[in-house]
Amino acid sequence: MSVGARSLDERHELRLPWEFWPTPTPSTALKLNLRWGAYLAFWLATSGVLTHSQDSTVRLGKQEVISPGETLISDHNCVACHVAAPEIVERLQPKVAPILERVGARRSPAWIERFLQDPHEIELGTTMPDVLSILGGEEKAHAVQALTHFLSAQGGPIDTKPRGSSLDALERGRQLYHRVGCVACHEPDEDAVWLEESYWDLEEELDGFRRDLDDVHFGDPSIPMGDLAAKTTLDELARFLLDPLAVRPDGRMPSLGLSEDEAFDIAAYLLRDQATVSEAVPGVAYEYFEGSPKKLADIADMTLVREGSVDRLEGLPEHRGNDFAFRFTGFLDVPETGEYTFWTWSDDGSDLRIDGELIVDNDGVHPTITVEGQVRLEAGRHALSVSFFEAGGGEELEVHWAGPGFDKRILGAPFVSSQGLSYEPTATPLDIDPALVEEGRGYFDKLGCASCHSLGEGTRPGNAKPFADLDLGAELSCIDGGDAFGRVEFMFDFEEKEDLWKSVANRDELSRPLDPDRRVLQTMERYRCFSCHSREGIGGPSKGRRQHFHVVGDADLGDQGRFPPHLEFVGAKLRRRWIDAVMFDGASQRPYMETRMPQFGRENVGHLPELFESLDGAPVVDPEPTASGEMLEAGRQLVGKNGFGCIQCHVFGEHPSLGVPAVDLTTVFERTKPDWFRTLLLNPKQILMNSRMPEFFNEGKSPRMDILGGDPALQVEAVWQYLSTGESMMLPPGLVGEEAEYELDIGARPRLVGVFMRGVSPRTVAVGTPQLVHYAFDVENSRLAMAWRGRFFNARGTWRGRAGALEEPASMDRVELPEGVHLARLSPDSAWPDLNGREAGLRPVGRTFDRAGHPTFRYVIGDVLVEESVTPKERGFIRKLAFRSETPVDDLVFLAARGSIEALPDGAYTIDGRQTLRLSEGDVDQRDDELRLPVKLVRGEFGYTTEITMEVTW
Amino acid sequence: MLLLLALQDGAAPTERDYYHVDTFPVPDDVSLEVGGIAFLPDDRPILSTRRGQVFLVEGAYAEDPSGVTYKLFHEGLQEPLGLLVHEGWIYFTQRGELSRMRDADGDDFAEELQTVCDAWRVGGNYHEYNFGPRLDRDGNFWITTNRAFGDNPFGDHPWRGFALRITPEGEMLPTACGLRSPAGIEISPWGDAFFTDNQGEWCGASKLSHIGPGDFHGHPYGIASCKEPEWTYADPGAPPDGMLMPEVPSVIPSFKLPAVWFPYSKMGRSPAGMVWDQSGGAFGPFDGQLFVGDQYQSTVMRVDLEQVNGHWQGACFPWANDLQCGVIRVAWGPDGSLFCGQTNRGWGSVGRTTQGLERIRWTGKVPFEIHSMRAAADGFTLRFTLPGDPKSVGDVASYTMKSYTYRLHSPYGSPEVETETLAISEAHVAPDRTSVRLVVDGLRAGYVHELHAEGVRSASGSPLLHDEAYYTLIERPGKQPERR
Repeated sequence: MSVGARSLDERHELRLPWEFWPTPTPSTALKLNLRWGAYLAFWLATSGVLTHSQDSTVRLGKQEVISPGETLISDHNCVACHVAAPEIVERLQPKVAPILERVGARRSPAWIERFLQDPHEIELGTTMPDVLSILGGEEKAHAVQALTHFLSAQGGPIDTKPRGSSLDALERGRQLYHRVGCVACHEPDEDAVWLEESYWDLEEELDGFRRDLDDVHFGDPSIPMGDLAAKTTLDELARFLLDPLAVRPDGRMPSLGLSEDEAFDIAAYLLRDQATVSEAVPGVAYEYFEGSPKKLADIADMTLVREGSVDRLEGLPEHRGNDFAFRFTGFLDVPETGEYTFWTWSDDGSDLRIDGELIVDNDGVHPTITVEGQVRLEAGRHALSVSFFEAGGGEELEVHWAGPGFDKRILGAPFVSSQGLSYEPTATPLDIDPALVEEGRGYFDKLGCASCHSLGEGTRPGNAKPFADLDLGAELSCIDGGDAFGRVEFMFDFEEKEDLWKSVANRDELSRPLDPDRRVLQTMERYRCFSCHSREGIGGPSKGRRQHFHVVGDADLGDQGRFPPHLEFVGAKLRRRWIDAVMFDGASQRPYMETRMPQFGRENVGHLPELFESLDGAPVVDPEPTASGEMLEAGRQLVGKNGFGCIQCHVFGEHPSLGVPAVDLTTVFERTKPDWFRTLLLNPKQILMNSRMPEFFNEGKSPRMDILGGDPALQVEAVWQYLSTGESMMLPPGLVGEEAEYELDIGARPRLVGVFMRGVSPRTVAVGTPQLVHYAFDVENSRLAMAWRGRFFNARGTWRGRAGALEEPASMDRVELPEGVHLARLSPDSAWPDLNGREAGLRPVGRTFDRAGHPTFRYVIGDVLVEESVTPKERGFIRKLAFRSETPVDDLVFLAARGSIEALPDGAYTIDGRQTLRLSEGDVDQRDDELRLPVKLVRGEFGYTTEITMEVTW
Repeated sequence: MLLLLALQDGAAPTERDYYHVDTFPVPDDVSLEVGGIAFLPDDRPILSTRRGQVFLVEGAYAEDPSGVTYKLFHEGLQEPLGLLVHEGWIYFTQRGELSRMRDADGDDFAEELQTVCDAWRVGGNYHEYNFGPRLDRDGNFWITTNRAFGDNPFGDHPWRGFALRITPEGEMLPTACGLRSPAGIEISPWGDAFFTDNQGEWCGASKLSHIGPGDFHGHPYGIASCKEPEWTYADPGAPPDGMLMPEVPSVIPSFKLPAVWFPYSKMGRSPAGMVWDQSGGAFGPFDGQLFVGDQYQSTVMRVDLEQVNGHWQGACFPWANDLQCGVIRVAWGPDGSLFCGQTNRGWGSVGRTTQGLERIRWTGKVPFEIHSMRAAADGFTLRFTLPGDPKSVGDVASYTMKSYTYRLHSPYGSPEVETETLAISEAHVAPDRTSVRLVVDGLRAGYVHELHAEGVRSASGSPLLHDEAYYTLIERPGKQPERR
């Protein structure tokens, strides 16, 4: 087995975390970035980490992988001026400088000027030398001015108009910056705890968002970004983020495959120092989306079509017939501190959030229904958002609120307002002087800028002394801060100078090609692949940054779900074409991972796939398909639920797995190599340490002895062949078609299922009856929550896989009982308490069943025992509550209904015009929006008792 | 002689020669994802399932179980993952409460359910499983609670990752914290509580641990609850991320090292329910030992414990492999057989089915096994179930040993770390030939000592049925206690 030739287990043991490196102080951290290579070389050279392998092909031993001097020559592109032989350039892969075409459009003139004045001062650690030190004070100043005009003329001048954005965008940008992978190299702005809160939990003043880089320090150095706010504009930074390689072809800053919106969001975050909060205007802003929503979460995938604002949340702005959504955002000015109630009345779904917290959840496809939510709000300004979608049929939206001192009313101005952010570039416009531009062009040529920087037409070879002819120990050199003409200053420190001289002295070595192992390490170090991936036992997310690797949603995949994969033997694992697709076409197989695989450019890392393959494993020639029907079916059975159960964890094309969303099985064949796959199944320990991938062959024995004679090798081959069938692949057994399996039919007796019920509680018992009137009893709060007619319940969300879904009745033909408690001890003039059952002292004590299997739910409120049962009847149900107490109780009240109540002549009531309600004898207390019934306990044989019935038809 | 060898080769003994496994058939219209097993006073088994049903099993003790039938005894429960028959009631855990039920009218349907304790709350997360109850000598019910994974749509609530005691009056006494996915809880014959936990983040390897009041078992998920008034012990604080397990007690005094680590894959992956063998030998040679089901491997493992310097520790051994599905619950049948309740829903397992019930019976034949592995000051003492061949048993070359430990850290599981191969310098066979004292150089406290005894032969020349043992050496006899 080729994969096992070098023991991976051993390698992992040797994995060293970055914290073993010298810990830089904040002031040296930035400088250290440039010296990564130097440290890598030093560390590999002294630790002997690569000598453990018995396999002579590694041969890295204790020798340096890449000398620090070589790394410096490459990073500073010395051979741009000191022309070197092609084989040297090929080995060095020197870092090319940014393209200056359009530099005037993206850089502020003031920043260009300062940078030219002293590059090292404002961009700590830059590889750009100070090339103007040759010139005397006045002439230097003039040259700087001329070059500034010349460069500003390249596509400039920069657009200094303010640009609008929003706090939402800034918040989204902050989340993206800390999740998609930016902080693998750049400084995280805050710790994870802080990240989980939104800006709204913090200070509202923008200044409060700003943090000094030096405040936060982690164990590995971050790549500095300089003073972005002084450098550029929102549009230009977004443009750069969308395609960094267009400006910086060296690929150190890779593309993260951002959408345009995402690029603007991240830019809004990174440039927050340019932002000011604009004046508030009455009404809320909205975004109008089109797509095909089935729930509010789908809005994320819809297309933004239009933006605008409305004064009141009553009705909808212009929209198409079906399949659209709105998101309204703004501020809510709360007049006084107190309890507020919000209602959304919508068809289809809607929700309302305040300060990011969900207050009203009216999600789902449904006819016009009202859902309410209560929240205690402090006086002052809060963030408000209301989302709404329409799938099909009618569409309605109204949002109401009520609070201290005012009744239910439409939510609108002047209580709602919206406010945006304005980004004002710090750049002052420059009147470009054509004469200075021409002078600047002269300097650009004379100073050899074009040796490194292209203006769009490529670079020109430098005319400094050729690399081969460099004098060792020359008194004046660019290494020492001035060459024969005294004109460049790189600010090398003493150690770097020593390293450079050493490498120049040994330059013959640089003509020799790097062997593949070292080439891979050189490349991975250079592009900071090690920030995310490990290979040769080195790398992986560092301790200080691990917290910023996230899994999408709550996929329970452990660290495998959030950390990018290791690259040990990746060339043996993955087919060349898949590595190519991931590295150069943005292909991805891990949708559950927030961090994205960046694109570094084929120019820069195009050699890696081939090197991986040549180092790790041979190319694959797929044999002609020989799969027999028997083998394919055997493979299908093995992948299925009762075979190896691969679908328990792995996604299968468009079908989710039965458990976690592990990588898609249908693409295994096109991604992985057969030998690796066989080893993975037959002997997973050889391949992945700490993987959750199970072992199927316990001591070499198959769990399915009845398939292919239980032969492990044959079974694995069958799975491989099955997975190779591409589009013709039949679904494995146990994956779908189970909807019916979980549909609960009701026979002669009632059925009970304990569930998490959406909008009710996580301790809800759904009771289905043969009369097809069903109900949900919330055990947590001891209350009847709702009743419905028709289909009872589909238990898929509770009985399939790991389950735990929030369930809903299988029918929309339902009535909901008043939220909160239905029993309270209070005086007639008191408002009904806004408490849940547990808070109000309603506690479950159990349930009993009659012979026919109908349950009676038993609970207490204080000393009073209540026994509640629901009996289905034609078009409704009868709810019976029997009370018993040892001691007299005279202040217990039953809340029969809440809503708009009308008394009918026959003694019944209608509630919201939708249901008719009839109560047993008693002093019914009808109020504006409540129907109360005092519970009169009467002394008798068994203490104080009474009984109430409530008949509901709808 | 040659002929004899040939005969022995041809009939290499298997586990099933000593312990017979019966598989109960399950009809299509019954979902038997067993979470709890108990026996009614009339001996009929009752099984609680993950679908919230309870079944009564008829015909469970027939020699051939193919005629078994299942009767619905109750339904509408939420993940009842344990059953206990006590004083006329059947106690069980649900997500949100400790409950009890009974069938007072004898119609084989429990018509009455009572809430015993619901002092903890549910956040609505799938992983909020609770295990137990088991009854201690004071009449308290022991429950273990899982940590949640992901969102709690009904809010975050305390007491996840705890061992809780519920008094007979229904009062909740949080007793130990830092549990991860403690799928097994049991009271030992001497009255102490033990639990099993599943490898994952902050649980470097699956384990069996003794529970003392106030213990912290390593997982930080629920420890914010230690600030609640119900927690009357020390707040452990956040654990260090990446420390070697044996070093953790030096920074967190209440950190409890396990009794037994189950090395990943070699032994268990997802230990669950367990029972002590108190059969007095009616179930074979392992009286006093512990049988532990594994939900992933579809096995039952064997554990032998001893107390050293006040710490319970010992060895685990492979025992029954190749069951049909992951074993989540084990229970002693009134007939002396071991019932194994099975489900792999959502997690998968080795084996050929996704759910069910099996029964393990002793055939009366004694396998040649390492009966126990006990710590000595300078090594270990092995006892065999049958007399060994003194030559092979006394030959140090018959054994190999290595030791390793784990890290307490946030990534999923820990590799075996600080591994060293240990030399066995002497092997002294006892006069009765059923035990041997191994002198081992370089014992380390806080490490698993993995032994392979491939060279050992019985008096009749047979190899061991299972030739490996994993001793978790936390305390060394004859040494001062290493901690506490």
